[in-house]
Amino acid sequence: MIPFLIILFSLTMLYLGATSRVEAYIKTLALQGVILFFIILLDYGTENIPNLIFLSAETLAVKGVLIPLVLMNVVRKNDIKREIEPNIPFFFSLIITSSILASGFYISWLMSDVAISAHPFFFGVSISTIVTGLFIIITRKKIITHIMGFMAMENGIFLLTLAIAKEMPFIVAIGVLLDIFIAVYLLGFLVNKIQDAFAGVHIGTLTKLKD
Amino acid sequence: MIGTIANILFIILFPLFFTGCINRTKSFWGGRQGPSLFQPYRDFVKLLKKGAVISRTTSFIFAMAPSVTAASVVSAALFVPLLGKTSFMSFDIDFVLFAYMLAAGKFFTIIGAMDTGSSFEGMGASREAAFSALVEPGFFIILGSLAFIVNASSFSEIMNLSSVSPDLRIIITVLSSIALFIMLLAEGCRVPVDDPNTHLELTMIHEVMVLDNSGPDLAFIMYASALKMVLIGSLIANIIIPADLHPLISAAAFISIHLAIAALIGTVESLLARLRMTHIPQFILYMNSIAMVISAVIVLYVSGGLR
Amino acid sequence: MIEIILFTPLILAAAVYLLNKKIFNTASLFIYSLLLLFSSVNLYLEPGSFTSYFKTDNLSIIFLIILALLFSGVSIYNFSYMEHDRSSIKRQSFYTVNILLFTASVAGVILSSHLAMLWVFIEATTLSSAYLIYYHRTPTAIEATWKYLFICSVGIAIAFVGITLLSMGLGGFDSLYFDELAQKAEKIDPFWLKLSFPFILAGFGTKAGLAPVHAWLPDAHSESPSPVSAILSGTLLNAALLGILRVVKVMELAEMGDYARTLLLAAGFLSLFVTAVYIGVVKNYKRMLAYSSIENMGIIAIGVGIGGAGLFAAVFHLTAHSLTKASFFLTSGNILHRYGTAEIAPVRGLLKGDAATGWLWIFTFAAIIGLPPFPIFISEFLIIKAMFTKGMYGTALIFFILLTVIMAGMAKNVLRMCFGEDSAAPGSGKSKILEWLPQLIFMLLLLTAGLCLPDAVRAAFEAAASVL
Repeated sequence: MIPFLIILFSLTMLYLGATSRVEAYIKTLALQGVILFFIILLDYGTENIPNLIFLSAETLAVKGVLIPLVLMNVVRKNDIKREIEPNIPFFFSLIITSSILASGFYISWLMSDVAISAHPFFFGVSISTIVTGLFIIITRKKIITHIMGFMAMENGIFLLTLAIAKEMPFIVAIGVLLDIFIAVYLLGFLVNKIQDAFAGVHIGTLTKLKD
Repeated sequence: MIGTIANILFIILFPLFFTGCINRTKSFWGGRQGPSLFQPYRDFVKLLKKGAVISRTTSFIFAMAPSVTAASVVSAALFVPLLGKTSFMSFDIDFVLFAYMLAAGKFFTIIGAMDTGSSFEGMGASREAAFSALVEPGFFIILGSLAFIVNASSFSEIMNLSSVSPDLRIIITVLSSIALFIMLLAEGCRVPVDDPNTHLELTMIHEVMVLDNSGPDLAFIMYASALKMVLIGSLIANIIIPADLHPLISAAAFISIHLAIAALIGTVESLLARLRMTHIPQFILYMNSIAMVISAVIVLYVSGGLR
Repeated sequence: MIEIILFTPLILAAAVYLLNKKIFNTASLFIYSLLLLFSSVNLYLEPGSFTSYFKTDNLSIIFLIILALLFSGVSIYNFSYMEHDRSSIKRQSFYTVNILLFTASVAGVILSSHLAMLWVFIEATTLSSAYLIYYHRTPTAIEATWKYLFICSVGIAIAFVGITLLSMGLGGFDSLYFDELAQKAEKIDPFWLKLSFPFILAGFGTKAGLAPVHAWLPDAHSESPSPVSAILSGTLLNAALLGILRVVKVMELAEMGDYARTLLLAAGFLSLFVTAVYIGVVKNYKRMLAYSSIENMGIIAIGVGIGGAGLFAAVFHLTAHSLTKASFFLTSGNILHRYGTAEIAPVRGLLKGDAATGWLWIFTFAAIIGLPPFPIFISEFLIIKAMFTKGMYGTALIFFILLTVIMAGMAKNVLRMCFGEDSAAPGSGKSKILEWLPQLIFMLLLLTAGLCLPDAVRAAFEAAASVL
């Protein structure tokens, strides 16, 4: 069941690479949170129940509900609809995302003899998610999509930590911490009354500081 | 013997019923009663009784194209496993012949459309050609990967996934179904690739190619496109249905999956809007990406990378 | 002792926030700086630890003392800086709260003995310094804060990937305490160790200002208020570098020192190159200072990358740079107040207009580019000597050339600002005593270190270098 969930996760990343609707990004992030929640439940085993409850509750609550809600709020308030002209047309963006996913699988295959503790599928898909997240940050222009690319990257990092969850459970907890802190601060910055229009800002306008 | 007769009846009778189900689902979503489930049959018979109007600027190609299209789709149906997982013919690597039979039919539709000399039809023809070209790699990757893992290469053997471990089988089934469904939407000219109900020629893809056909020609074109959808739906159904069921149960499952697919197409048509023309290649590329994921998963599995 | 360093700021911050009085803001900074000085000297004399997560050792005590000295100077300067500030008392209190929390986070990074705890505290520094950069609320400040927050967050996430990859290689034991990592370094799976190092270098290097992930530094350090720039340049960059150094040590013990050192050298030279390109053409003197920070971090990375005698030079350079750069930034605050602009072109005749600031500006400049008798000369000389010892003549030549280009760029700007007729508006005041006294003290300390380094201090540096 877990490989199936991981594959579904990678399909959501493909979708992120292709779409231009900002609300679709948010819904995909929420879906990723839900998929991660199920992966935690299925993969964890029965030791350390409080940790399990904490992790799964956090994943569902923060990644699946809270962050998408706040992002949706910001998007609706600023009336941001689409990411119209990214740096690369969406067609090529999808091709590149697919090739990143393919290299992720290739890396899984290379790792299959090295990584004994990590499930190889976890590793390949999480590395490709991280790289895709970075790719989305690079190729999109709106600040809100930068933040969503960052969230996608964080979901990938979370998936990576799940690979060693059995040996070092506290790494996953620290990953959760990363999530919450960054979310609180980055989103707090956006939702603040003073920078109301900041989220829809084009990164091309942030060019005053230069040499 | 019975299987063959059942298959023949299926090919002749079912596609129009399929179209009727789709229309009925769309009416349901639209809050209407909608046409009867057997309305497409009545339309077919009505069209057969009419005479065809043929433009003077066309040549024999236009006259012949609809018949060739219908014939190619029916002959492509010979290879696909239908009811009870039996097909009329099967030999090694017959899925390639299947794909190219369909492509031959499409070719004749295209040149028939261009033969009319109308610019709308030429436009639709070029779009249709482009989107079909995008669908092809994905289709072959999916079938190739399945052939690879089953170590066989004819349709009926490929669809027999019982030798594959259950874990992998779920992944392959779901992913292939999603990818083949996208292919169905593209080849069958449904929303979000092409809106069959639009009356604006600029936005049509398939409809505009058959704009000038009438009478029996149009009837057979309708039948051929419905049959194409049913064939791709059969691929999906065959992947889902396990191979070792009693033939009657398997046949019943087959038909119910088709009805489910028809309902799903109707739902998708009602709930989504047609994509902007420039976004359609991305949509189809999505299918190719899923196909690539399938092949990557299978390669990983076979080379022992997964547990 | 460590508890004092870590917990007092929380109490003081709460008090500042609740009391909301100007006098208490400045007093709290003084109190904390005294406590820091006292605790760090105490910890130097007698290393301590607090729970298993915090511990001092020879390397981190140097960083801690630098932090204490710097923070004392900055808290004195801050008092008169805040006199010029017209923001509401609420915002000033929030500013003070953030400075306290930021310093506590940097202290936490320095004192950490666990890799994940270090990472958490670096994260905390990002969060607490964001408001400080944003303090003046101009559109450029918003832009700088956004770039800082975003780039550093991505960097921290990448560092976390590196830490996760490292822990994948740990196999049997499952803790990331530095001394355990050092002990069991050979047992770590080399594949994962090798894979994790570039991530950790890139991640922590983002906070440390190493090229190519330095993009936030010129903006953030130039837009923030001068005391904040001084703390950021003088302590935060060091703390992030400490994270990298700890992991380099593990790599060294696991027989991969060459790989780590090559990457550090590459990052160091790239930083020097980037600075050499930009420093002549900047139009804003605070950006010039920020680029100089990138250069010095590059020199420290090169020092560690060379190894051997370069390690002592790197630690020495670290100390000298912190004090010099802090002095530089604080002086630039004076110039900003007097001339009202942060651009180089309108500023002229600093020596005539405000002698204290002008002479400080020149002497700090002389210190930072490595003129004797200032200690940066000694550290750069030692690095070049280490390069010659290892036979890396070409590298030394490139090092020379880049440093010269950087010196030329800075000299052009600094000297142009100092000489000539005074271009400030008539009636601009001169800087008051509290605005040049901390810098003077730093300069005197540096001169002493450069001329005759006391043996105790040298022993401390050597002990620090030997930890690496």
